[in-house]
Amino acid sequence: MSSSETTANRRGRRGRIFDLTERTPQGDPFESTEECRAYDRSVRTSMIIPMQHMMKLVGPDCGPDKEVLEIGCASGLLSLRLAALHPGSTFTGLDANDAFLEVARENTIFANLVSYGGDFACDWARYTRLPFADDSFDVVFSFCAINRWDKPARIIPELARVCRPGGTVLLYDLARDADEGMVSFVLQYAGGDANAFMRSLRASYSADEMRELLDAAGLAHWSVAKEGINLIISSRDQETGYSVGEPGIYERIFD
Amino acid sequence: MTQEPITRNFLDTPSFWRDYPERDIEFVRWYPCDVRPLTADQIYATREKFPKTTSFYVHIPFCNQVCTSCPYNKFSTRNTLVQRYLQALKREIDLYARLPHVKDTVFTSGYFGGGTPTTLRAEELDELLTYMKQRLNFSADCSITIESTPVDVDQHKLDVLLKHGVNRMSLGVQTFHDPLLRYLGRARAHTGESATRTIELIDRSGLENLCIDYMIGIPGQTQELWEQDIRTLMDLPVTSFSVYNYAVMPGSEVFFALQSGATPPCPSTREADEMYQYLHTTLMDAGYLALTYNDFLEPMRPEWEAAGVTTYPVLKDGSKPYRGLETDTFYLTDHLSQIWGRCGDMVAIGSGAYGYLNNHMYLNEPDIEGYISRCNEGRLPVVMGAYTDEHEQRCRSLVLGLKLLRVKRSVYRARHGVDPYEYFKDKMDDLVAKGLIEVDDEAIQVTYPKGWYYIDNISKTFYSDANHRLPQPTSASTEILKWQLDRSDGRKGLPVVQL
Repeated sequence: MSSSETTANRRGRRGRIFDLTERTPQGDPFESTEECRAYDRSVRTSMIIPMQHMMKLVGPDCGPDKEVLEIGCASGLLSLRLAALHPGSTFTGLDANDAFLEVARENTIFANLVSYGGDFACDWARYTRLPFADDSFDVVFSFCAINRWDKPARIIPELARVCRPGGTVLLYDLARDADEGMVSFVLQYAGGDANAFMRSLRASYSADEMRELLDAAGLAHWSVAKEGINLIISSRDQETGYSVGEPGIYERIFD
Repeated sequence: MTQEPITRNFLDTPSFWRDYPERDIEFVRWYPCDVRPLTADQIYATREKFPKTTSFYVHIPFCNQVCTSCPYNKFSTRNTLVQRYLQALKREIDLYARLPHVKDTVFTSGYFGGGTPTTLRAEELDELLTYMKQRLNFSADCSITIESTPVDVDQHKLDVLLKHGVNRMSLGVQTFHDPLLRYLGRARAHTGESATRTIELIDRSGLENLCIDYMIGIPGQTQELWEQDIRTLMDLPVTSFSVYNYAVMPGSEVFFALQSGATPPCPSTREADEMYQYLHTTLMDAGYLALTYNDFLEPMRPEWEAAGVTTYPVLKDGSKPYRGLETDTFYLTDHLSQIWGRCGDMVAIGSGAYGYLNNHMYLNEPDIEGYISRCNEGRLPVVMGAYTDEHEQRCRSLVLGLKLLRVKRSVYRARHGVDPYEYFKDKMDDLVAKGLIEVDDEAIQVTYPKGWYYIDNISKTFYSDANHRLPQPTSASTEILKWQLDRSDGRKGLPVVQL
């Protein structure tokens, strides 16, 4: 008698723990400035690793002397950090939520107080009709914002429109079809607001859904990758992996 | 631009599961991982087991100094809360004392963990231990461990603990270097000198087994400082010793101190590996005995040998004289062999405590107020857990059993009615091919040093399909339950409960 478990059984386990089969849109859940400040705190703590991952992916394209646009900039942290690293570049953050813009302005005032040296400004806009001419930006990115969008099918082509030929559009969000172990890990160990995390996850797209959406928008050449619990959409091919440090001595001794 | 490296030490989200040849470092300690809502009524609905011996784990979720790197359930000590918590513990002990599963067994070992159990005052410890011994059956040689920091123990507390037969203390020293303690956020708590004084105090008190914990991967730690710490360890009157990997939690104080350069960096993976290698070779060259890949015991004493304590060769070819301890031959290591080796029962007492009874792994309500209410209402505070059917039990005996580096085939066959190698042939052959385990007629043994280094990968090889790629369940929250699908399609013996 032997254990009958197989790899095939294991692969079939998605959708067995959490209710993530159907996408459940949540709209924009941030109504008050206080809620936006709470989100700002979670970006600084429980979301610090994904934020750094995003900085690593988009950072090299943001300078020198580039025009950079962030769609759904929320409290502005990511753009502010990138702006400090690229003082010659201009960063514009847009959000359709006034409460977030208030927090973003607070953060900008603080950044200026400590002489961060970057060039960042934020403003309100409707994402489906961006107030910019075609080919205005070298880099267009968004971080954990797609799950708040009602009409990504109309927004993503707008991002492509305002990005220059040869520029980079990079969108980073949760992947609803992430490994359930990863979801379990974040729920149990990442801290932060579990309700907000699960609402966002349930409102996010799977890799297949995003692929379909891009294909329908005529953006079949854009790439869709999953890393950990995240979905990374890029207008050009790029390496999206986390860096996990150098190998240890045993890896070298025994292999 | 300056790139902030995302190292393994930063516990990036994928780090809870790594496949060979990447080294998994999650530190497997509980199984199964696929936890669901669970009540005490469900655990005891049908009596499946009639064990003769059992163990206990009492969780004291209070610390005088909360460490930012600790993943366990804990609060800063507040006196009124402590009083109400101790009352609730007594109610819970009463409930267990009446339970047939517990009434018919004898406690051969137990563990007070936390938190810091010695944040309790001597009178409180006395009252709690007296209460437990009046209501539960303790064996004469019951081995009881208590965790402590180097500053939360004094002569008065030691007298109480010794009086009640506590014979092992696990002391969270971490390192003897004060700057490193400062980087860990322990500056207000203890210094190398106060740790040394406490160790000498404990030694004079006559406690049988003093264990100290070190950590590898502390900011600023170097090979030179580590070698000094190992020499200090070997010079001190310490019976056993454990080492853990220090993990920087994302968003923690230490995390930002590292990022801003306020503390020196953590050792690289390679440096940490070299420290671990230095540790196990130095200790075993000096005759220390291996209990697990990260727990060691002083060289064999004549009185232990006379009492029947046995060892096995760590290297089967005998190229080095290294020995591992057969933990089930030694009463001082009974807790380890009970909970991991034998996969025996353990009664969980206290908020955020994990236990294993009647083939169910279970967690007590981690919310301290919720825990207190449940106990005061006369209900056992079980909230979450997993049933282990025969297949899961066979998995569990290897997931946890191999942490003790060796599983005897005859013992496994007697327990499960099947041979572990035959039952898990494909998985075992794969591990043998990778050089992580050796199989002979007598035992499945983790190879040294390669298998030790990959111990979590080895354990996870024996996770069942239902547990594959799941993280270790947390003891600090039940958040996960809110988001699980209704499981009325049925796991045997575990109907879904509305919370």
